[in-house]
Amino acid sequence: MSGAVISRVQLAATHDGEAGLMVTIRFENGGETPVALDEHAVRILLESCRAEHPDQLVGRGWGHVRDALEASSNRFMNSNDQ
Amino acid sequence: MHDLVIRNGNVVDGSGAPAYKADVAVKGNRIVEIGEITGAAREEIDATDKVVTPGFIDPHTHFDAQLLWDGCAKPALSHGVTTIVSGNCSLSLAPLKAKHRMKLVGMFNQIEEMPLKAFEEGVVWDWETFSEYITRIRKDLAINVAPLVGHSVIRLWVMNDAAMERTATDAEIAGMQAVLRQCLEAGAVGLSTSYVDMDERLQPVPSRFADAREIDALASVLGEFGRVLQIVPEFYDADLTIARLDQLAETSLKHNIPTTFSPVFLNADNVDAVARVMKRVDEQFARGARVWPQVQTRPIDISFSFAVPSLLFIRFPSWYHIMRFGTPDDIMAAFADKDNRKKLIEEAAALAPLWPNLVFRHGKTDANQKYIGQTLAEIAEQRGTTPVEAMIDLSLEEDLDAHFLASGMGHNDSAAVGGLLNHPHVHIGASDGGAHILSFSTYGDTGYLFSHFVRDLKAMSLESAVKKITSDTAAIWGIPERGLLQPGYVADITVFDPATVKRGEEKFVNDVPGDGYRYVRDSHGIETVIVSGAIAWTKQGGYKDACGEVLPGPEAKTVAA
Repeated sequence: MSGAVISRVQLAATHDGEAGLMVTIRFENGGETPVALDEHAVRILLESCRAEHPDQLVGRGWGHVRDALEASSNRFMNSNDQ
Repeated sequence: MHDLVIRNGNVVDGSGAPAYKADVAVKGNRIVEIGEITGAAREEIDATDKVVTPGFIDPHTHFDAQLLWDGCAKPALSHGVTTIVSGNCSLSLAPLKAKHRMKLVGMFNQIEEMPLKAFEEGVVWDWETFSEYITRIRKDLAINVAPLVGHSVIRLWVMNDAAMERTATDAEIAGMQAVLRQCLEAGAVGLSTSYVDMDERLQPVPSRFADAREIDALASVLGEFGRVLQIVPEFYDADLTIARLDQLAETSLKHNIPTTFSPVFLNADNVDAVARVMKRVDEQFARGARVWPQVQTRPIDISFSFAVPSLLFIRFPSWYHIMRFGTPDDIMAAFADKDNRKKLIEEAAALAPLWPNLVFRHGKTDANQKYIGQTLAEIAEQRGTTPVEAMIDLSLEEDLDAHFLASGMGHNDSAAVGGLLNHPHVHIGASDGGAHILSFSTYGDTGYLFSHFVRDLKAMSLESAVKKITSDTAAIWGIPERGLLQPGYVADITVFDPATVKRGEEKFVNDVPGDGYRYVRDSHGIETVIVSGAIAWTKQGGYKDACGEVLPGPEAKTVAA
């Protein structure tokens, strides 16, 4: 899985009626899987890849997607006192 | 003498059998005869040129709160829906200790967009147990309700704040099993859980802290009753969805229970993923597991305003930059600035294919009310400007509180969606009725099924479509004596005009307690809706007296007429 990369990026409609970004991950064996990202995860992903445009994400490693998803879902963890 | 006879209708009985001309007679709450009925009745309905079907069953709703002030689940009943499944996605309003009420209100606000004021002004909190909640809603029920009990609330009941922090101990799991058993005995149709949803603090809902042994223990209780497990898997990731589907299949087989998961939807870029999910569904059914994927009929719309960041403009860096990083004042200034505005308009020119689908759906100023429901292209023509400028100007005039809708942005490949809906293992549902009330309308999906997929595209027959949302649904959820038109069955009946039925136009209405608003659709082409033998809604007369039941619990059955 270490060589898996982002192979395609597309705007997508989400279940909740918001715009999301569908990132396709291509594995070394040629298999592909789509992963949907919300607005927060996309912002983190763009920053982490130093990309200004979603098309610049193509070719970047899957680890950026993993980290963005993790950071997005953890963004309010352990801050119950807000 | 019969109480009610529906005459000269085209009977589509829910079994999938071809339609046939017949009269349908009702006595009490039961269908007693179908054929040529000569005797008089206390009440008669002329169904000439209309279709007579079993009432529709909506398996995925969030009407839990609305039922406290509206026993009709408006406007679902008027769309021909006679039974709703509430309590999906791990959230129900019972069992609920008084000290946890505000926690649940927060979750309903975050996940379902139910306004806090609606709870403050529309809810008298006079229950704690599931049985007490059932008693509470049954008083004014006009629609049948098959209530799921939410895993998150069972966790809260047993574990209190620890429900949102950790896995459960053996003793706590045993406690949850006991509470679930009580809920099922009180009439719950099953248990719902979620691996996805976040609470009002954007932290995982309690059900997400459960480990596999907790799910297994609760499923074993469902097995005692043969009741349903509903889950929300990680639907945004094909591999995770399939992994969760495999777990669900093992649970179904081990405990001999039906299970269902949602949502599954088709976007242009995930067709292969849905094909993989469906292939695994077929494989698991072949093993004997019951893992029903729920698929919605309506396309997915994207709603947005410039007051909240949206990815809709992410391919246009200037737009995305101001939406993502600008304060409302920054955005207003950027829209008003002549040079910036020029740059934004130039960049947005590439969005040309989007304009025919962009609709102005809500604004607060009187001057702009006339534009509501129109596309930006139509508004631009009236204003002598371009659609992009119309969007910018409306946003400025409304202090950014102008709401737009990009319609049909997903789940909109009709041929592919029609094929999916026809799949023998697809469970038509996932309407989310009663939820997302400030984002889009979750009503009229059945009308859309008949108008778009049956009448216009001929993607499925009328008989197949009716079967999918009546007898198939009743069978999946273990709801007896409903979903078919045949003597001895309970008389839940919908009469509609197959030539005109559709989902109706979306509108923003002020009918939520606490002076709240929501998006709804009025039914179109539905003539009469009968619940448990009594006329519950007519096109001419609107809503009638309450007659709904709680299904399928034995306690509820004692209330039947």
